[in-house]
Amino acid sequence: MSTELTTVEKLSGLRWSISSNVANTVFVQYTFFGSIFVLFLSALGLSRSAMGLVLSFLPFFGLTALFVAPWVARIGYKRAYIIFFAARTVVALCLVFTPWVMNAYGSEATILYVGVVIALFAMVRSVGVTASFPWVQEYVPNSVRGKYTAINNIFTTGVGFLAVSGGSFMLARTTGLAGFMWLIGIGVVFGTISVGLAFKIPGGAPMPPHVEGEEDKSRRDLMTALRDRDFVFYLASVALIIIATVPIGSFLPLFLREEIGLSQSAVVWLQSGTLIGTLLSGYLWGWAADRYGSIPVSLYGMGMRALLPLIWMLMPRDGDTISFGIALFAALLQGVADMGWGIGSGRLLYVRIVPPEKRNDYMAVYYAWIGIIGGISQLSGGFLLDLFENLRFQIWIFHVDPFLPIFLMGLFLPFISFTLLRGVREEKSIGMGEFAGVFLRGNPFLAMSSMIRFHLAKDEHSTVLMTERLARAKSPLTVDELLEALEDPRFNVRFEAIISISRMMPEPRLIQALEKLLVGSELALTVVAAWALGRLGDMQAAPALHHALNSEYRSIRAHAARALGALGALGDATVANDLLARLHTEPDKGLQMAYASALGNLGNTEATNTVLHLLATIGNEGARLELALTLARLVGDEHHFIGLLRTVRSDPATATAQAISSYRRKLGRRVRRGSDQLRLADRCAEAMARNELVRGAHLLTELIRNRSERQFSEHGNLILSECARQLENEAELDDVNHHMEYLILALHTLQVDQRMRS
Amino acid sequence: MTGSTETPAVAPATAEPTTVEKLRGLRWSILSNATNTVFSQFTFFGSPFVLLLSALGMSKPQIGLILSFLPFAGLIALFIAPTVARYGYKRVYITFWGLRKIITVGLLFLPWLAASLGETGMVFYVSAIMAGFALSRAIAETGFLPWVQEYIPNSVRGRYSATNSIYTTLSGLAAVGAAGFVLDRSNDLSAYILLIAAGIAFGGVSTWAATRIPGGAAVQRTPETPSLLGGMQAAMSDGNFMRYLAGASLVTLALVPMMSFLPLFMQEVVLLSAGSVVLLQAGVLVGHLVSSLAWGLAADRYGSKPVMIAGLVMKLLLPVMWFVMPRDTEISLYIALAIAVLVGISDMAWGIGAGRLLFVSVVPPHRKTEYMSFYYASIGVVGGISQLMGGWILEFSGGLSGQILGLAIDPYTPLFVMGLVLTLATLVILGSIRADNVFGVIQFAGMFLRGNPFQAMGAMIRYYQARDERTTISMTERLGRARSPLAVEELLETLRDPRFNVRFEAIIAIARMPADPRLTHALIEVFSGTELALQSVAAWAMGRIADPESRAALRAGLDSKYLSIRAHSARALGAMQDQSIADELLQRLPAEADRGLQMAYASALGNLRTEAALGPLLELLYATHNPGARLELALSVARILGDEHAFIQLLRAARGDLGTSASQAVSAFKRRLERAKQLSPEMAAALQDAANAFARLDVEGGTAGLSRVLALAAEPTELSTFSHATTTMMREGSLRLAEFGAEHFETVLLSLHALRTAEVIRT
Repeated sequence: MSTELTTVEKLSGLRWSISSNVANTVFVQYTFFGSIFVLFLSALGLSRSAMGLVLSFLPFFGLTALFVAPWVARIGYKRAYIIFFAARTVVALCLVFTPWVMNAYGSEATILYVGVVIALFAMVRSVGVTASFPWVQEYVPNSVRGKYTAINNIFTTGVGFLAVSGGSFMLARTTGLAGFMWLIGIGVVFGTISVGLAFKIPGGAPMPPHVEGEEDKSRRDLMTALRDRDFVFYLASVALIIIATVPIGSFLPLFLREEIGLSQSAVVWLQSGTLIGTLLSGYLWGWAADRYGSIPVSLYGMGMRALLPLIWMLMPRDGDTISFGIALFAALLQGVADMGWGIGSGRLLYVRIVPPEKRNDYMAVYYAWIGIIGGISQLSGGFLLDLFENLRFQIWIFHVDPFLPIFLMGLFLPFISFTLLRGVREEKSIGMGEFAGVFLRGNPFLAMSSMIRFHLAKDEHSTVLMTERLARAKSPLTVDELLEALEDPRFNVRFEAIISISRMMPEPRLIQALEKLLVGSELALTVVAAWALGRLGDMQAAPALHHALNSEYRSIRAHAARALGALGALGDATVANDLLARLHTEPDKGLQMAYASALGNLGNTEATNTVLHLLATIGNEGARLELALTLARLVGDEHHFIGLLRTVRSDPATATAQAISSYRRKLGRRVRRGSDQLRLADRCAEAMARNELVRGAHLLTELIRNRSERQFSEHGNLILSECARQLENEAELDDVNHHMEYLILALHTLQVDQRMRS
Repeated sequence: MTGSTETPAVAPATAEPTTVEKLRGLRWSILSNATNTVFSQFTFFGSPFVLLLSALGMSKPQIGLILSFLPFAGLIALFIAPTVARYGYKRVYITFWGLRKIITVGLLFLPWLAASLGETGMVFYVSAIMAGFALSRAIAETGFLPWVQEYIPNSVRGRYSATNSIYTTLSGLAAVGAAGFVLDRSNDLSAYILLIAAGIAFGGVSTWAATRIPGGAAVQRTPETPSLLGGMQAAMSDGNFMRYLAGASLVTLALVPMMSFLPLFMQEVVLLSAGSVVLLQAGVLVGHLVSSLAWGLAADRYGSKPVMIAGLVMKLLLPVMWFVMPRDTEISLYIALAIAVLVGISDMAWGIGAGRLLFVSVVPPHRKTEYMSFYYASIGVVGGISQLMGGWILEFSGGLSGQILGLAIDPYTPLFVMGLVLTLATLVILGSIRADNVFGVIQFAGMFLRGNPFQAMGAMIRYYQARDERTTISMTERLGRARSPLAVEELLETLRDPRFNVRFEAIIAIARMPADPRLTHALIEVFSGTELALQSVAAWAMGRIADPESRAALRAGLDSKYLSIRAHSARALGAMQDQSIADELLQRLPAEADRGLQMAYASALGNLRTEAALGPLLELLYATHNPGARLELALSVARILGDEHAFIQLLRAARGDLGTSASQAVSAFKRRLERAKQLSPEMAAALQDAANAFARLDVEGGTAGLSRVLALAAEPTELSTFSHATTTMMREGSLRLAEFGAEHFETVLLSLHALRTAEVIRT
């Protein structure tokens, strides 16, 4: 039976992993990694340089990984982790005996004792961590790695905050080493719980023994890792970020207190800003990394991190509320940036950089590398500060002080790191510009709330409503959910999804999804998909729609033609000839209407005669009006026709009289005063205004026939002649209300076509 | 009472202007009114005139007496109305409107006459001019009111009032500013004379502009024309008219005293500075400017009465707000300003609504002479009395002071109480008036409270400005998105647009609106029309809105000759949970040959949770090969089994990783059986095998295991407590999984869903 974990097992282990990490957070805060430990060392009387030295044991011992990795793989990652993390907890327990050592052997022996304990702890821990990297890679499914990291961060940050507050409370109420001993004791208890919880995490099995004839998986192959271009780029990038950020992180409190003038308590408060930034952004970064890839998330985190030194360098140095506000903002941004970088780069390492089958070697190199770089960066910060101790002057508003070199490092090194990381290849990753666009286009807040509510929707009705909301956000964030809605088994959800997609900004994936529907078997959705492609207005869809003109279903042909017309209105008229040919031969009225309408949208004046003929033969009032609009579009200024139609509908007499009067005013500029045409126009307007529409139509016919054809375009003349003929027929029947569209079309052409020719 | 069936009292006017002429005349009317505003501000109606009278040494009672000529002169209207009609409204108006300017010229001689006439002589001289002016004005306005009713088309009366109000407010502001500027630079009589001269010039322009307004022709007397007394009697016996008059009178009595003395209240009680009190005027004007167009449009669209009542309700709040507002605090000015803006808004609503109501619904056009003269005279008298009444009440309550519930009582409190009570009485009286409104008052208020009225109004404006199809479609979408009843008219209009894509979009936008009878009716019309492409979307839209009113049309749609209409109707009725069609669909399903219709019926039956359809649905599922269709059928079955959401969640998870999600589902079922102590060893082993196989992503192995699990679960045992539907599904699932394996993805899902929904009872 394979020892490979199933996803079910992996998923069931994640909660134990998070619980273990949370308990471990309490352990590390109360023992070797928090400010409490620094205070403890200070209380023992260690100098700053001695403190720096013992603290650097922790990263430097990472080098052990290179040597122990094969052995760790052999005994099993889980076993190695549990043994050595348990051992480190036991080692940490030794710190509890410090007061006894102090009393029995004096302070120098105590310092030596503590130094030995730290070294032992660092060594044992490095073996445990060497095992943990490949194990984590194994038991966290890649599909949820970003989300897992985010949730893990949220819990560990929250608990870390509580642990620090509790530690501070304890130390404030005790004297001497007693408080530290209590805290270390509590830390050891939590460390033990953490190790106990890790038992429940699956995976991390020992490497199977080597079988003759097969590849020996336990054989060291560090060179493969070192020849891997992406891995090397990644290591270099991470190293630069560590060098850029660790010294700043260590000495920022000093800078804020000494240079900016913030009080000690204010500096401590700033930590909460970072925590809030972490908590607020963690889940979002994790989700974004899973959906859009690790690299854009890492790069944006890194970019934000590079901005921070600028803020610190330029912030006012009065120590007042404004300074504190800016520092708090920077702390918040730091939390957000660290989260972005941490989640993105971590996910990239596990998902893309480290091949699972070679994780042992890769992770050992990685851990050793960051250990060395971490240790060096710790030391380099203090070194640089000492070196530039006397650097202090001002240029205009810019203050130059001993912290400037480490800020400049923090500013420029991320840019080099940025370039290196961009060279790493990642599948399913989007570009930085695209990634930014995802959050900047549309309404990202509405998008995110809709996405959450879409997944929570319990029934068809709420899913339909949420699908609608997804599109209302008009944000690229919702594209995946809309695509998912298109594959929903509920017809109404799919229908709504098509309509919602039609309201989005054009997006290649959405267009492709609609095109797929267009050739699908669900007729009810296919026609709406054709309409939606026209509604989206993206020329990418034109070939698919053109192809759909040959569909076996008339309704699809009609919708495709109309959609092509709508697209053509945006500038492309490639299908006009095809549509015109079809219009001449098509016997179906609905299709004739669709082709005519599309040709109107495309401004194809060659269709004038055919459309006029169609108008004369069609009986349906709505269809006649649509054909009149098609002709009006050929003349131009569709808006004018619609305006005229609306006013004619509410008050035909007034609207037509006003239209004639308007034409008369224009005519007055061309012909001499008192001419027959002007008199006719006056009489016509008067008749219309008096609601004598039949007489008005007679006079309008006369007016059209007396027009100067040179003032109108060829198709305008065609339309006017036909209108005059039809109006005369209508007037003879004493009813112009029946075919009002000729009256409106004639008035529109008189006004608009003349205007265009003048 | 004047009924619509009565013969008009005047001969049919051949000179009646056409709507085109009327519309053309409106700009002149507005110009005339705007310039007349300047005339009024610079002469008899503005504060400069009161200051002039004071500068001439007149006492306050003398000033009050002279000013009361203006309203009281309105009484003359009762006697001259027939003559005015005979001579022609326009002619009378222009003659006397011009004459009053000539009379005003007399004021220009004041500086020269002041020395020779002496104080008493001056009083008589100014009184004579005022009397002449008031009389001319009253005669002119007797002609003006019926003329206004004639030359403004009712369809745009609200909008006209609003536009007119904006222009007159702006010109009034400019005039007041100019007057202040002139008086600041000189405090002798010459400054007043300069303003009066300028006012007369503007008055001349106003009169000239009025000559360009059409209509107002002389009315020829006929034997049917009633006498003056008869006309008055007719007006007085018209209950609606008298109710309106009573309401208008009460509101005048309620507001005029309160508003006249409000500046004093603000200065003496609220302790605002004189400058701040003047600033409140600006608040009122802002209220006018921001609201007038909206009220005008609302009056034209929804009727005068709701707009008028909205104004009254706001007015009802005013005295309460003034009474409870904090006094002598830093925020007093801001609160007073906010109330002043509300005053402006309520003035506009009342003015536009009541004015439009008078002209459109209360006064019959053929009786306008008698009605309007009676109205003008009555309002004049009430106006005069109300002016005097405020002073009397204040004088009477001069010593009033104290507190009630922590609120201060002062001499102005009776004015506020009177304002509140009389406005309330007006509301009661006018609440039952007959009017032209399309909507009830409550309905009107509800329009602004549902959906997003601001987005709706923005979309409405931009809809009319849309120049091409694309923008119109976009605005149609916005109209629907606002979900406000305000947008209903526009949406109905888009349904009649000649552009196919706009109509299509309109149906979709309507589908996203809350149910509205007019929209439902419009959709039913489209559905019953001839445009097939829109009919099917209309059916979908009706299902989306789920208005029970549309059920009958959709049921009829089940028998349409078009398959697509039948399918959409079935789906829509299913979405609306119309149980009455269940039996019908159950009969049609096995007999239907068309695949699309089968799917639609099946989907509707699933939506209706018709358990009897489970067998036919499973048969159909077995016979269907299209994966999409099979999934939809599976959903219908899942709906009948229950917990649709769980099925969808399972589907989403399974699409990502079938093995993992299936393993989790099987394990969950095992845990439930364990907890309920219903897990036999055989079943436990089968479940474990299936879960393990799925977890290892051995989907075929898992499917085979699941088939065994289902077979075991479907066997009748003592512990078996599953429903008939669940057992049926389990049996079918077991058979089909054995037959097709994991090839039929949806059968795997349905089987897992059957495990999920199976009711396990703890023993």
